[in-house]
Amino acid sequence: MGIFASRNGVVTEDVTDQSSNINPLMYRYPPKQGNYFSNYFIMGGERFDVQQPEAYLFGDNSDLNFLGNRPVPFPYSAPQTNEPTKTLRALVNVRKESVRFLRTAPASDRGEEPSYTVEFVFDSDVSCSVTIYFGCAEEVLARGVRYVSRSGSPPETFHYKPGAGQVFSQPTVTWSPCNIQQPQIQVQTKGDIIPVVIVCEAEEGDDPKQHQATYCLIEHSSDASYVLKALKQKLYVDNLAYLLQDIYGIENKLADEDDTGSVLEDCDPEDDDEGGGECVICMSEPRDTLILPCRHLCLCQLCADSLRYQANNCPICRAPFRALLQIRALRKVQGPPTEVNSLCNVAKKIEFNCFGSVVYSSR
Amino acid sequence: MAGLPRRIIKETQRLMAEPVPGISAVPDEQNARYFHVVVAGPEGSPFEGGVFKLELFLPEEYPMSAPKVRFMTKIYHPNIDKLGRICLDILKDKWSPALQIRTVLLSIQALLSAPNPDDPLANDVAELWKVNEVEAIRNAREWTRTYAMGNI
Repeated sequence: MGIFASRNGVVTEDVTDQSSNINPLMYRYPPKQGNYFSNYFIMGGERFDVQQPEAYLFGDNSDLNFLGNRPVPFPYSAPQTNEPTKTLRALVNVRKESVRFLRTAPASDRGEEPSYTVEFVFDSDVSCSVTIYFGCAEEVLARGVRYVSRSGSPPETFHYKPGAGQVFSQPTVTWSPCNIQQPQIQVQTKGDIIPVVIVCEAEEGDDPKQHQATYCLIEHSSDASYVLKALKQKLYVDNLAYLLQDIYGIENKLADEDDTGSVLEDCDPEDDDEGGGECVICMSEPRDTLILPCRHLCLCQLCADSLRYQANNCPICRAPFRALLQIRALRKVQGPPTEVNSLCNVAKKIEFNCFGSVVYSSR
Repeated sequence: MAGLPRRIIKETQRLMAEPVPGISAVPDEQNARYFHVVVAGPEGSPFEGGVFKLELFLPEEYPMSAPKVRFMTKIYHPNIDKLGRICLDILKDKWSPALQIRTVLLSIQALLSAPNPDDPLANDVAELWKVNEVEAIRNAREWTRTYAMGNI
């Protein structure tokens, strides 16, 4: 029996029975046989029956395969229904959209294949280390996860001080198309080897140390150059893997937010137009409610309340919705100037108003 | 009558401040939910040069239900019937509360540029549009001249 528990919009995994040998294929979606999901889930301490069990509430079902092929024990006691929301505090964050390849000038004109260095922006509340694995295999161990680079020598680890908006750019971290035979290898299909994994690990905080893994694909673009694309991110806290999911519709807020440090309150209601942070229905209140599983942040709480009785589809994409999730954005970024100011990765700044523990009992 | 929702006030203000090119929408003096709309026939369409009057009404449930829109000027178009009713999916089952007066009017303008005789409302017009498009377009031009020029 396996239980998937999710909270704060990201997902963790747990089993009660660790003794038997676990077949990794059991933890892949879709399963070879039987059901992956049960016919109910638990959220905010309440049990909800579902008509159609085959559905992961926070994204595509195939996203679950990013969680690794082995269960890990759940380190916390079961939450009480009246327990307030717990916020997951991410200490490190690689800004997913900033991840890219930079082409380096060729060392000679002998017609060599060009090589690329990896560049991205990251935020860290504590001192941290960054390691980049090419052709990476992920091994889930009983205590934590281990990354192994299958191509070339063991990767170098770089150390950084705390700070927001730091740029990772190391001339010794290079990738060249001749390093790898199948550069377009897909994470989903090949399963085992991920082309590039960026691991950013906190060097302070509780043990085991937090880390964030950013999974990247290398794509061969039409002009014969290679492009690095961040695909998914996982945050490991207390050895639990939380899959980070983008929220669509939060982007405009962060553009305004950069220096003011306030997300919602600084929005001039007269100033924002259609693309702004206001609810698409009333056009007055700030957006704070997320539609699942399409993850469009487009409603205020009041309109979400009325929408759920009057419609079944997301106003933005018309996909049927299964749940509405109110998020409480932190309004102030307080504290020392090293406080991470970015909203690029929402896991840091938001707090869900329900304990989103999704339990799928299966097998 | 309940006060006007803020959304309608905002949409009206924005329509006034940044009108859609080729479209004017003015709220009625008596009823802020009723708009007098004028759409210019799009360039390159058989409706070019014509000026089409429409009425647009925001029902009580708006934006949870679609605005009611109707052509007041006679028009020869396979998706608009002789009462001026419009066959447009976003006004029916494809309505979304994220759509607005502005986007609805843009869609109607686009419908004039791209008639869709495969999803007809005016069957005779659609039929002719399919079997003899040249004649159908000639009719549309003629109707435009007769009913949509010098009418305002």
